[in-house]
This record gives sequence, C-alpha cells and structure tokens, in this order.
Amino acid sequence: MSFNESQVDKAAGQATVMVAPPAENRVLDVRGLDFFYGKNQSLYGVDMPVERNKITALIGPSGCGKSTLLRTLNRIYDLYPGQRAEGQILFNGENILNAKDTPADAGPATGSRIGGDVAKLRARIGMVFQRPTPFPMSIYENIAFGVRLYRKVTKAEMDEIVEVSLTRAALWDEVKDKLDKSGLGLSGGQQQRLCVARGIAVQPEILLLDEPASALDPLSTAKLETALMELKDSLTIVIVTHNLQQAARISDHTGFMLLGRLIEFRPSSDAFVRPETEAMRDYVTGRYG
Amino acid sequence: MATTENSPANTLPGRTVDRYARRKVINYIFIALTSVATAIAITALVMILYSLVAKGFSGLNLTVFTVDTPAGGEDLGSGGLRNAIVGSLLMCAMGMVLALAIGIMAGTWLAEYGDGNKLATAVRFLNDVLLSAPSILIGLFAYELFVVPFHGGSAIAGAIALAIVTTPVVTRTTEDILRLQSNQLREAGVALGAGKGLVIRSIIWRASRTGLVTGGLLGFARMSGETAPLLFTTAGNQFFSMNVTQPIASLPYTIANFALSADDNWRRLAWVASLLIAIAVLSANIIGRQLARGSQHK
Repeated sequence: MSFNESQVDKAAGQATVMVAPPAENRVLDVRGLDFFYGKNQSLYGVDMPVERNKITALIGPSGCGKSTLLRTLNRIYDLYPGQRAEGQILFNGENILNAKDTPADAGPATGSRIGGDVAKLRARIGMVFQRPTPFPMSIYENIAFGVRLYRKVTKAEMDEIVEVSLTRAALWDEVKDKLDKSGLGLSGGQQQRLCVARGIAVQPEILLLDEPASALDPLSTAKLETALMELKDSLTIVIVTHNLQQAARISDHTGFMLLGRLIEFRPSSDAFVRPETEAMRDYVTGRYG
Repeated sequence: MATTENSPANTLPGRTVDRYARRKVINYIFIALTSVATAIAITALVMILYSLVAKGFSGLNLTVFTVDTPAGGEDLGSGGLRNAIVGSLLMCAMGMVLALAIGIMAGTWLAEYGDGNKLATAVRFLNDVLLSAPSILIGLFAYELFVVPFHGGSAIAGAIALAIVTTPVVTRTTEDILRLQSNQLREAGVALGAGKGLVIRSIIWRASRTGLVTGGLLGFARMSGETAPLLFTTAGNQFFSMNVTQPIASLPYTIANFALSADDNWRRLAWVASLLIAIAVLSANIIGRQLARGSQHK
C-alpha cells in the first residue's frame, strides 16, 4: 500500500474535491484542521462538513489520518499530552477546539482538562471503538453508567432507557433475559452493539465509530450496519472504515483521505461510481501507485 | 552449535549426521544440567518443608491457640502462641490497610498519570529500590521514627514497619496490573463524558479487581514472614495484648527469641510458629496465583 511521489505531491498541492451538503444541514463543520502528534503533523488543513442525520464515512489507506480526524471530533485526544489540534471544528456553530478551559499542555493531573464543556461535548458526541469495550459490569449497568453521569432517573425510567437503547442497537432480543449478566460474556458482535447502545443511551447528536466492524464476522457486521442505518433517523453518524463495501452500503457521504489530507468528499452514490481524483480512483479499484 | 567450521550449507550426508549427533549430545548434557539444578532447588525446599512439618506438627495442639507464650523452663508441651498469633494478625491487618491504601493509590498514579512525568520516573525508581531494600534497614528506620520518640516499641510501630516493607510490592503490582488494561477501555469511559478519575475508580479498578487482590495477597505473603522490621519496633510481649500503643508479641519475633534458646519447650513453639507462618504464606501465594490464573482465562 504505497503511493508514488507524484501522488504525494498532488495530495499536498490539491484542494479537496468537494460536493458539500448545504450549510444549514451541517451539524459539524471542520475547517482548516491541522493535527500534531508532538512534532509530527498528521492532518493538514482538513475541511469537512458533516450533514445532520446522515452517515458520513471516512476511508483511505492505513495511516492516512482518518482515525485521527475522528478522534478530534470529540476531543478524545485530550487524554494524551503532546497531541493537539489547530483550526476549527464547528459543532452547531461553536468551535469545540476552544472548549478547553486550561491550556492543552497543562498536565493531566489537574483534572480540569476534561471537565466542564468538554464533558458536555462528549455527552453530545459519542464514540464506539475498533475493539468492543464493554465495561466490567452487567449489561444493564453498562448502559446505566453513562446515563447516570448526566441525569438522575428513577429505576423505572432507567429500565426504559436501557430497553430503548438496546432495542435501537438491535441487541434487546438477544440480551433481555440476561441484563444482570456481565457485558464481558457477550460475543464480540453483541459487545459492539452494547457499546453502541451505551453510546446512544446518553442521547448524543453524533455517534463516532472507529472501524467498529473490523473485529466482527460478516453476520455480526450486517447486524451492526442495520442498527446504524436505523439510528440515522435520530442522530448523525461518522464512521471510519477499511471496508469499502461497507462505506458504499451504509454511508450518504464519503471522505477519502490520503497522507493527512482530505482528497475527495462527495455523496457516496457518486464517489464510489465515479471517483474524481486519480488517488481515490486507484484506491477504490485496488490499484496503487 | 559448538562447531566453528564455516562450511556453507554442506549437504553431504555424513557430515550432516555428524553435526546432528553432536547437537543431540549437547542437548542431553544441557537437559541433564538443568534437571540437576532443579533437583537441588526442590530438594532444599522439600527438606525445609519436611522439617517444618515434622517438627512443627508434633508440637501442634489446641493450647497453641488458646494459651500465651510460656516463661522459660516450663514443661514440654505447656504454653501456646495465642498472644503471638493475635499480635501478628493485628499488625498484619493494620499494615495491610496502610500498604493497600498507599500502594494502590501510588500504583494508580504511576500507571494512569505517570507517563512522561519526571516525578513518576523518580518515584518508580525509588519504589524499586525500596522493594529490594534489606528489611532490617526498614526496621531501623521505623525504630528511629516511631519507637525512639515514644520511648518504647508498639504494635503501631510494627505495623508501620511492615507497611513500609509491603507498600512497594503493592505499588508495583498495582501499576503493572493497571497497565494491562487497554487504552480503549479508558477512552470508552472518557468518550461518555466521565472524568478520568471516575473512569479509573469505576471501570479500570473494577476491570483489574482480580489482579489487585492478587497483588494484595502476594504483599500479605511477603509481610507475614517479615521478622527484621518487628525486632526493633514491637519490643515483644510475653502476655496477651491488643493495645496498639503498647509492645506486642508476634510470630516472627517469637521464633527469633525461642529458636535459639536451650529450652526444649520454647524450641517446640518456635517450630510450630514457623509452620503457621509457612502455611499462611503458602496459602496466600497459592490463592493469589490461582486468582491470577483465573483472570487470564477470561
């Protein structure tokens, strides 16, 4: 998977080939985003709109920066000293990169780096990871954990939240009789849907998924995709995937990234049929440099 | 293996067999050497356990647990270890509470907040030094700090000395165990909007529960056999006491006192005390290892 130098030069010089959704439909608007791991820059001037109640897929070869881009959207990179983002990420018009109330290089021991606005941001932008990350507690408690961070609810209300969340994640029927069993006892696919349920239980506007199906078998993947398609009614999804068929199947918009730049961003229906850039054409047809 | 001829890929049948046979012989010699070494180590262990069991069990009876340590010169079979057993349990309990509280917090700080932190590097290094420090030095330290100012040994001073011996063990295992948890699990908690502290307390600690218990048990195993820290700090006590500010008896102290005496009854009790400690250490180790193994299968 290597691109030759002419493509690297092109990637560096080109503006993103973009067919953007209308501004009033955007829930997120990334503008001129640079990202640094210490001294190494890994995102270069990324502009990307995210349309409300749609699925946006990010594709590209390993190391192209798609996961990095995703991880800036909920500021999860804050956990790691030395990682920083510059530019703008407008979430409903508000730049989330300014949500910090202490400088980014302050030590994590102060505890304030993820407090305040950033915690609220994460309540509204949830995340599901590559490997399933059920908490070491019961299925019920896995869901209740996030809810309790923000709301005081009665047992009956919590029961309902748990049922609705699991139903929307297409997991309810499989676990309704064992809600008090450990989440660790579920299969990988079930665990991943539990993580989706946990994420949507706090009622986020956006759900970020970082290669959520890469550790799942095809059947589990299909179930997860079905759940995501149905979730679109109530929230916005941004998904990083290595699976081009998956991106084509479920996404409304596709962004193709290469070497830290967003090369092409278009409606998926067009992007996969007629990629405009040579780089994306090579990538989706499996031909490289 | 031992041949030095640099013949490039010689495929002649005779030479291949030649080298093969030689390798085989060297292999046998190596296996024999390691087996002998293992046998020596096991023999030593078996002999220790044998004499412990043989001499300890014969002196074991109910009065060991119900009667306090006897004065010298009493009849063989009289007296017991009640005060020493209770003293040991009391000091171990206090010491464990201290060691667990400090060790788990320190280990957590090292694992969760210590990356790229110079202070953490220093703390980790000093902890490793303390881990291998001779315990008699720790006893002296506790003596200077907690015995001299109060003009006499006490159970508290002993417990603190034991805690100082055990805290590095708990700190080290806590850090190691917490580092085994995946970063994605931490990120998953933070991504829900939970603070880092809450993620550590309700997710990371819980996920590491078995490992933390194991670390505690191994720390207890280390602590329950320690004698040197108690020699200067507890001052020993021939009588039953649960007053933590007063001198107190303990099993290791009793062994140190009784084992070298000419009194047969005292020497009997020293063996019994050794057996009790060995049983405590052995069971703590076995339970700890079983738990650790169990958690790996999950």
